[in-house]
Amino acid sequence: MSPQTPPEGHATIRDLRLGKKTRKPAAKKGAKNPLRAGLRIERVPDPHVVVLFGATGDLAHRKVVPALFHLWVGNLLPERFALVCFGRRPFSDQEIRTSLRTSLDKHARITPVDEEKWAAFAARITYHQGGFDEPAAYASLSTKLAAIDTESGTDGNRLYYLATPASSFPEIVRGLGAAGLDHETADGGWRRIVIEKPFGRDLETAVKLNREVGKVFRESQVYRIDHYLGKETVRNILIFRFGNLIFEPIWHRRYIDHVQITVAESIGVEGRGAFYEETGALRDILQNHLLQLLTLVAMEPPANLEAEALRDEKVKVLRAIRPIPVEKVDQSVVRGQYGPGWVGATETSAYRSEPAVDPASETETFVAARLEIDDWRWAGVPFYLRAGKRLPKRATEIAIQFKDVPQRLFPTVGEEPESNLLVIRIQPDEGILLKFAAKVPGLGIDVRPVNMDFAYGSAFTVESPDAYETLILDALLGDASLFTRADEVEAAWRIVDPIIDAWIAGPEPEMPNYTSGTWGPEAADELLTREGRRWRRL
Amino acid sequence: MSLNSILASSLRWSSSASTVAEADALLDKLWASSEARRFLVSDSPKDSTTAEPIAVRTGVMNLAVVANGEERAAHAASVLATLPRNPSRTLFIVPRDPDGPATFAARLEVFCAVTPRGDGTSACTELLWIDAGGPAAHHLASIVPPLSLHDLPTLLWWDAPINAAESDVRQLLRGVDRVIVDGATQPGDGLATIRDLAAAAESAGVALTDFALLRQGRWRDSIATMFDDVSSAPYLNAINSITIDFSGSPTSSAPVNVVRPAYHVAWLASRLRATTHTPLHAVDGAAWSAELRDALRHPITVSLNPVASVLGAGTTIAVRIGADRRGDHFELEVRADSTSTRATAMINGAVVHERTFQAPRWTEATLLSESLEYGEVDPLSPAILRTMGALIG
Repeated sequence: MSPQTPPEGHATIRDLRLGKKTRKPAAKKGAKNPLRAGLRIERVPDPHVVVLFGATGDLAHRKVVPALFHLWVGNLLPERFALVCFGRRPFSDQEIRTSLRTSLDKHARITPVDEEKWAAFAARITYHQGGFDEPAAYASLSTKLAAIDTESGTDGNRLYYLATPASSFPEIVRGLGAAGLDHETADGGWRRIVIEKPFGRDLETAVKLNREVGKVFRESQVYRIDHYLGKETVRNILIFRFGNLIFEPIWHRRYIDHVQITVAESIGVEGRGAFYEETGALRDILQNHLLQLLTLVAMEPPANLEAEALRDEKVKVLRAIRPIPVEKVDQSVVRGQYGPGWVGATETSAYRSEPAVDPASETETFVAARLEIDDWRWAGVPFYLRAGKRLPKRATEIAIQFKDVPQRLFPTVGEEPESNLLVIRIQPDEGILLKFAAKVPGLGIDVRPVNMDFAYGSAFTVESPDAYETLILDALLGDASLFTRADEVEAAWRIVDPIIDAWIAGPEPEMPNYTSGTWGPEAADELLTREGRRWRRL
Repeated sequence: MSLNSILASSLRWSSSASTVAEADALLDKLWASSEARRFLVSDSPKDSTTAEPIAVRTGVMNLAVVANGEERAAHAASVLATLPRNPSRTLFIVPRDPDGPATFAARLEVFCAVTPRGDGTSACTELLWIDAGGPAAHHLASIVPPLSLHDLPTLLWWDAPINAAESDVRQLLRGVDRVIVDGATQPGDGLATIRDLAAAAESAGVALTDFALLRQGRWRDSIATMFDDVSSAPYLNAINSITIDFSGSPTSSAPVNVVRPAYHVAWLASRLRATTHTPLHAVDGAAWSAELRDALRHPITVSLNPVASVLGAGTTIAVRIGADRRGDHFELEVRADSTSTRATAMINGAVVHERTFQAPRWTEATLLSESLEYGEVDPLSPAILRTMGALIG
């Protein structure tokens, strides 16, 4: 074996891209069990241990642990379950339990917290102190996990959840690998790793990170999480498109004029100035959330719902997006940064005045982009994406604007006729709206657009789970459909990289360039108005 | 929107009607125009000065509850109140005094709560409390369809003993999309009632959801998961005995409802493509026996055995599945308590796999929630019910 040859059982990134596998995949449990068919829950997760890195951090307290607790309350975790909280700070088992319990009061989806359920859940939580770069911490973690397997019967199954700053991912992965904690055991004990975004800062760092992870874990063990994909309405996009006959035939450049995808937030950076200075709206939202939503809207029907089939189709879309040449970025992409203003009758400060933000910062808090997909279905249909902070309201939606009818027979009420519009509302008030023309009651034949509105909140008698609950359960069940694959991440960076390059090479932008509480810089409007279109009023 | 939230709702309206047509017309009028919706009044004095309310009816479903008396109707309402959201229109029908004069009285209520949309829109749900007396109590099929909202599915929750042989029940089934019953509360052994109802439902093209079948979901999950294990999986095609212990007196001859234990057998048989060779029949007092044939025509013996227990009569105590393959004997035993199920797989008496599943016994609210939202698409139910029919004979 040459020094470059990876150890047996490990795939190189190139192997993964080419679809090669160096290890025979484990037999899929339950694949031929006829008793499994038709059951509501596809599979009860195997007994397991979740090792939560960054357990004392914001994400763990706000999202991950509440999600695990709700899965426990919903009896979707096995009885033989343990949560090991790994962190740098000194905590006793009791202290981490108390700290997590306090956070649940603020962040639990279902309140008040069921104390009996919490007591049973808390009994399964332990703390493991160690630095992410300390080999001894992983050696002692290994010993601890082996002891839990023996005492609690968790069968060697482990989910490593990296709720840490991205800068810690490589050292944690290396630490796990060096301690042999990645090895799946012959008797079926699985090892999976969940990695939070941002996955890299650009293509180069993403490739490097993929390579680091790939040295230790096989791609099938890696679950890159983008919580947007766990949202009920986002998951419903596939059902809507491929579970109904009537929409797919018109999901085509022949009938669709353009698509708008908006992720608007009314909040600012909310104390995360340091993080935001490193990321900005382009990396924080467009590279992942917005492009993921775009792929779901634009993808071809997958052959089946297996993770690979789904992700193959998404990657095809990303690869078909026409790269924006560096010299033309300013014609297709607009960035902005909020200044002081008013949001919701409250006076708000400028981004540059936020804590931990450089007073001369050029970090964008708003980004809008015009993308085109070069394939037969979408050729000539622009996709307008925008995301921003301190906009007038919180709203995430996908708007499919259909073309006008070939000839207008009827007079319309209002200034201009409106074509059909389909809106998939992701938050808040998840639902789907179809706008069509109707006759105004009366003796004339005036026409006005009306809404056919489906709202999740008024059409079902059950509540939607939190996105993290959905995704963590999927990871525990070994279903990677809603997680991002290595080549998918890299394909997304390939779209974003020229934008970053252009911004670095270009002149200093004039920031701030939009007032808090407005819909971003005027240049974002011009992106559409120069093509005779406009952003939807949300 | 749950009743809990709408009871503290921003808008409400109530009225009464003495005929079906009047009730229908009053509600139609309320929703016909925004002008009429001004009749929705606010409880809160500060709201009384606000602009015209934006109120919309939810688009969930119609639910008709046939309750055995006012107390049961109130109980049904309290169960509904625990659901996260409510049907668009709920009819609580209390048939009374079947030999008296024909009477009809309806109390109509609309409750609205503000949606999270942020534009002040309120989503509304309607409750109709209906007393039907004398001959009207025997003609519920003349009440439910005209009072159901058009183009929404109509579910019928028959919260009382049901007789599928009655003409009114059969007619009613033709006018709804799904019927919900609890097989475990039907009189006698309950088997014939379920068989007849399943046949009537199939004939009417209406889906049947049985709480008794839903309750056993936790058993099914556990049993199926145990056969995912590589040590147990090979025995799935070699099953030759299914034994269900249920709560009952081994010596008493009083009939015990055995719908729940029978459903375990029907589920396993339907999934294993087994056919009924000898239908279920009573043996030795309260015990039952049957014989199935698996896909290769090998016999599978079925026993339902009563065992003394503090649990309600007919409650499943244990499910045991036996199999013999290549000289080895496999046995899976599953037991349950109020919060979990525990499964043990043994080969030749040695434990090879053991698991405890967090699986609490379902409450009536959970059963109703599951029935309302998922019953229609439950792919198991039709096959199990058909197998159950053959098993009962």
